[in-house]
Amino acid sequence: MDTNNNNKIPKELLVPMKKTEDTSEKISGESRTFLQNARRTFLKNKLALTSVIVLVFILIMSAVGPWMTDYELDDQDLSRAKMPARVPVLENISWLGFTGYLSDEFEGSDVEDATNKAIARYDNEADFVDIEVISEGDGSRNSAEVKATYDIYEAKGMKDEYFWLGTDTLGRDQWTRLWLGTRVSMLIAFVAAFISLAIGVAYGGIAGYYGGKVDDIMMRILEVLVGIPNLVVILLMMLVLEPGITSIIVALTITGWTGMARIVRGEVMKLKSQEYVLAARTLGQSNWKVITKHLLPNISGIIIINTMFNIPDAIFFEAFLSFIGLGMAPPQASLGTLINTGFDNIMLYPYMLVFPAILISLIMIAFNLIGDGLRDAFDPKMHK
Amino acid sequence: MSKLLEVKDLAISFNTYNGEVQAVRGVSFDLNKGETLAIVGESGSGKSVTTSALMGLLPKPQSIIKSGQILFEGKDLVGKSNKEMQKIRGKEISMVFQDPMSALNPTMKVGNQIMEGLIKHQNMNRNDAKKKAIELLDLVGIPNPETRMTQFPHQFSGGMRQRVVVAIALACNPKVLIADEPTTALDVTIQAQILELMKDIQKETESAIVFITHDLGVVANVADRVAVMYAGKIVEVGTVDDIFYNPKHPYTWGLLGSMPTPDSDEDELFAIPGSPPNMLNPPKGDAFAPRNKFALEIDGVMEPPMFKVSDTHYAATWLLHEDAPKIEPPASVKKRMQGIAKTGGNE
Amino acid sequence: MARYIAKRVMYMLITLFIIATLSFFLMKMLPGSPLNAEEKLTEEQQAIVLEKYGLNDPIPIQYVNYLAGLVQGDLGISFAFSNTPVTDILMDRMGPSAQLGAQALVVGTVIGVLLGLIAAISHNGFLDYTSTIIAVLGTSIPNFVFAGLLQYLFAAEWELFPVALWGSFEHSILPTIALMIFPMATAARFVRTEMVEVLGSNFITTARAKGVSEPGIVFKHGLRNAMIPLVTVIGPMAVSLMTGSMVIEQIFAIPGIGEQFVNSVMVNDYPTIMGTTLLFAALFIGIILVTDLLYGLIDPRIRISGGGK
Repeated sequence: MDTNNNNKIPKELLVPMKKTEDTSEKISGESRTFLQNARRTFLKNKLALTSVIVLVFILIMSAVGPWMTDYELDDQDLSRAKMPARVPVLENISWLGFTGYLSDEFEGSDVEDATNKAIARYDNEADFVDIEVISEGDGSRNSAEVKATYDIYEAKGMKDEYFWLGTDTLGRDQWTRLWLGTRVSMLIAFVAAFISLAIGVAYGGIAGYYGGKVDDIMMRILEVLVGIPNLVVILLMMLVLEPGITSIIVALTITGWTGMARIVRGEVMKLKSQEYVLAARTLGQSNWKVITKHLLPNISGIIIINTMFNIPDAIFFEAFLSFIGLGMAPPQASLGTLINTGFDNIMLYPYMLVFPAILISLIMIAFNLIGDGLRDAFDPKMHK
Repeated sequence: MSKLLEVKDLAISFNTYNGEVQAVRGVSFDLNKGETLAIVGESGSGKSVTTSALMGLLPKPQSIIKSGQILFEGKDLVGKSNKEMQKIRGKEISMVFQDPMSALNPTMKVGNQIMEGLIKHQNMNRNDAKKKAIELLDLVGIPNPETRMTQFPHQFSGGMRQRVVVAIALACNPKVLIADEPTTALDVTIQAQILELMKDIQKETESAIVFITHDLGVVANVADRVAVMYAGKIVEVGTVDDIFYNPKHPYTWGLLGSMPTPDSDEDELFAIPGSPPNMLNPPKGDAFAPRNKFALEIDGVMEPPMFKVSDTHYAATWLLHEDAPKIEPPASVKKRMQGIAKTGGNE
Repeated sequence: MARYIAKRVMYMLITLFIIATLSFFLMKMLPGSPLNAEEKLTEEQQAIVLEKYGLNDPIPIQYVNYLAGLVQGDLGISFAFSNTPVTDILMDRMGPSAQLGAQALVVGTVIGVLLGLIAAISHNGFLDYTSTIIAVLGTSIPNFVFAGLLQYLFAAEWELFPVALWGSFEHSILPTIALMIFPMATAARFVRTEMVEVLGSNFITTARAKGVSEPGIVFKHGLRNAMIPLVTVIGPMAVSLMTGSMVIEQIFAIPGIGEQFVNSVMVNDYPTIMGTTLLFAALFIGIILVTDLLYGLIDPRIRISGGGK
């Protein structure tokens, strides 16, 4: 609070200021629409973006993957059953697991005992089994340990063949089956999710928009339906219907739409009483115009997000049903049936489980991350 | 006489996505025992940030105190650890918030929320704290305090909730009570009740009050002294009489001029054009100049210092320079000042 | 409140009735019969078997008998294990499933809440990202994949736990972990989101202004408010435990209800399938009812409005 240095002020500055344009009302920064903002936020989300790329890759592979080999979905040939994964070039990098060798550790009272066990295990093809002694042992039970590596491709005289992801118990090429299975799983998930979307949006939209008696009745029905656990409905449906793609889709959509209907109804109810919608109605806009111009654009975000979470749910349920024997029937492949076969052989041929398990996990993670990314993108709080 | 609270040249910035926002740019004021200081300003003028700093409640890590001191009973609060501040908050300095609907924990009984501070700061056992809490609810004018103790916030109306917030703030007889727009979110009739309550309580407890508001009508009612803030600075400070009857800063004129009084016609309102400056890049010179009808050339070059008007009254405007053209407040503002003289202070 | 509970229980009974009716008529549409499981029988013997199952009566009578049985807890007689009532089968197998489910739910939720809490406190810090990654993986990766991974690594490769079967507590560790991943990840995600929001709310500032210490802020004021919405995800958690019990009991060869269900599917043992389905439905609906009532108990705002109705 000093008043001492006033005298230094030049007098010519102490005159009224010539008015310049007032810039305080100018909006700084470019203006962006909500969707532009949403897109910007989404594109900055590296995880979500990576997930999109991964998913697109998986979708492309499920389309072209099966054609990259000469094998068909159901080419059974017991002579080449249970072959491990072998990929050209990569076969030389031992830790990757694409060498085409089966290998395991065997225990015995001495090295010879262990070796015999190993050879017995590997088709008695002693010439093609490499033994590496881990511990000599002292004669007591299971004290000696050897590591046996079995070149099964050589033993079967198929050194020219490459089963990239190995073969299953019936000698069918896993690569072909994996991508065909992915195709089936994705098809089920997308179709089920979109049918659920259509029914859910229509039902919830009608209930929410008309409100009153219509809403009351529709919601009572929905309440009863929601009360029945979807798991139970799906299981019952699968028992009655012929196993197959259509049945799974039907079973999934019978319950799948209720969640969407509730969300859409809630959103519509909320939006309906917003002032801009009231304003549009006051100005005499038709119902149709109000719905398409004001309501749909504003609930599209939540619909998209919900669908993005419904798809992985459907993939999970398909896999679950096939796993417990109620889903796809052999020889049809889906991620669930492949995983089921994998589990039957988990101890001796883990590769049969590994690849479908990795793939289904990747798909689920990718969809969930995209869903999360979209949820953030459609949340105005996250826009910077 | 030593001051209870003295803020010296306080400057606070926020690090944001777009850069450094200078929310408070060198604010100084003081507070005596038992007095009420009103800090007035538009939203974004830095008044709430200043009070958050007093409480040690600036959001971390985005905000930084660039410089300055906050002397409470001679001890500097800037740089005190969170642990040390916990002993001061609620006990020595406490706060009443703007929105009573969200200021109370929805899942905790009202009584427990009042007792919490008592148990912590006064080492009371639950029984004593309970008795004291009932007294407090009674003091802030809540009927049936015993039953109200066991209720949850959602069972209270907005005005009643604000009374509870006041009771929480008063629990440990704080020396300074900061009220951050305590009436803004309330209905007009309730506003008057809360203001009345705060005045009564001040008489009883002799707490000093820092009253944040953008409503000059409220100021006339409760304050002893007024500080007007604009763009992170105090532009005028003085007693209520100084500010209402002899305002010197064009911004204060604007504030007074845009306040309707019962006998003013609408066209007489003296509005301040434009919006407050963007504190990301504060303008050179006087931050108010672009909106100021009475700006001088020097405002674009140099920030005005605090000119002394009287022992209690200072204002930061070049208009007070001895060589500046003599400019009177606009007629409508003058008329308003007379209007306030008639109605103010005894609502 | 009592009226509200009564109304909800009514709804629950109606839903169960619908499910029971539905499953009865579905069962009638299916081709399976107890005769499938038996050796070649003479006509007389067949007639005796059908009589035993009450299949000679007209369908409406069968339906009434079925409902009457249900009320007394009689779910019919298994096709696969002759003479064994489905109720007995389910009771026999209840133990392992209940133990697994309870262990997974409790351990999973506790760890999940802690993870979410840690994440919220170290908002955007290293621990936040770590626990977010765990949560995303846990909600995305199907539990049977986890089960396979655990079984292969911990049991087959490193031999730390039994590969399968049921018996000692050690047997239950791997399946419990596989089953608890989803509740854990869900709880972690939920608590984190809620906690971040709660910690930013005004009443936390009020508490800070009172001088409440940081642990007090987090546990006394924050956690309770952040955990209330957790009740809403108990439904999805219950479903995940049920599907989980089917696949995980199958993978680890645990003699529980889920494994029984899968086996019954294989041999078309419809009475057992329907009985299990009804049991799952009743469990699920019961859980939802309990959680709704619980929600009213822990959230004072709901307690009042819910009671008024």
